[in-house]
Amino acid sequence: MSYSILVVDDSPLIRKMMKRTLSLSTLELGTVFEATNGREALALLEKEWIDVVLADIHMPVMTGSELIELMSRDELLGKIPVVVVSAERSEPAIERLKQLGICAHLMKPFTPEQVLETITHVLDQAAARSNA
Amino acid sequence: MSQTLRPSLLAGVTRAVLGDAAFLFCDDADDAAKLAGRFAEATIAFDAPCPGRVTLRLPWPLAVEAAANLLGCERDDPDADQNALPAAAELLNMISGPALEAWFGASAKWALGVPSTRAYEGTLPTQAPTGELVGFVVDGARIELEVVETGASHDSRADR
Repeated sequence: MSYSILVVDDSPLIRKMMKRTLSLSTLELGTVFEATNGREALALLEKEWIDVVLADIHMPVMTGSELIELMSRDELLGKIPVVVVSAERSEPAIERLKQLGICAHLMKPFTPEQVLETITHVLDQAAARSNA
Repeated sequence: MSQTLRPSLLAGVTRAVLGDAAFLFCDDADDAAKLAGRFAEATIAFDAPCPGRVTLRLPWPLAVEAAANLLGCERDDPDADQNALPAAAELLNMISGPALEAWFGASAKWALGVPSTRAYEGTLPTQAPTGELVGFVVDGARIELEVVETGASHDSRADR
């Protein structure tokens, strides 16, 4: 089974870096979609099958926090695991993101192995929830 | 705050990130060495018990090399040159997270802002540093990281 990933970041460099890291991670990849902000991400989520969202927080137009909040209010989108990718390491800040509904936080800098481990973990969690 | 900001702490984090993420392996710098030529500079503000800003300055060819290494392309690929400033911003972001964690502790409220960048030509420093400054040499070229405490909370992000 291959997994479709949505990378949400306003920096083209980060999107390319993330796509490269995903390709090096040995994860069975389907399509890797890209969005430059939360609004673009929502538009893609409405029309494409996405297994995991990897999102930045600081973005113009619609931030990662706003995206996560809107997704969590939607019955279908709320089931898609969201991983926040950021350099934030303050536990209160990460806890706030968890309260918004993120499944995991991937700290920069990261390795392909860490990306694989994080995505596998959130996919397992999502599968367990849907089987419950 | 878990500890005061020490140059050795900043140096350790910077070396680790530049080496692991961008394959830029740092040697100790001669304090008298100056930056000269074309540079990439990235600055990020942080809100914390001691708010301030962190600035990374590196010669343009090293910023291009960092971009190439982050993207997995050759140094002469046009993508590398076009992404020199974003690469400087991203490296600064990667350095600032663990540096602030080591400085303030993971349980403290702190938050990073959005990095800003600029390219310029000249010679540095033009004045004495106002904060903690650590310098390195990569392939004979100087890289600097500077942390300046601004003294007053500039936004409420860390309190949210």
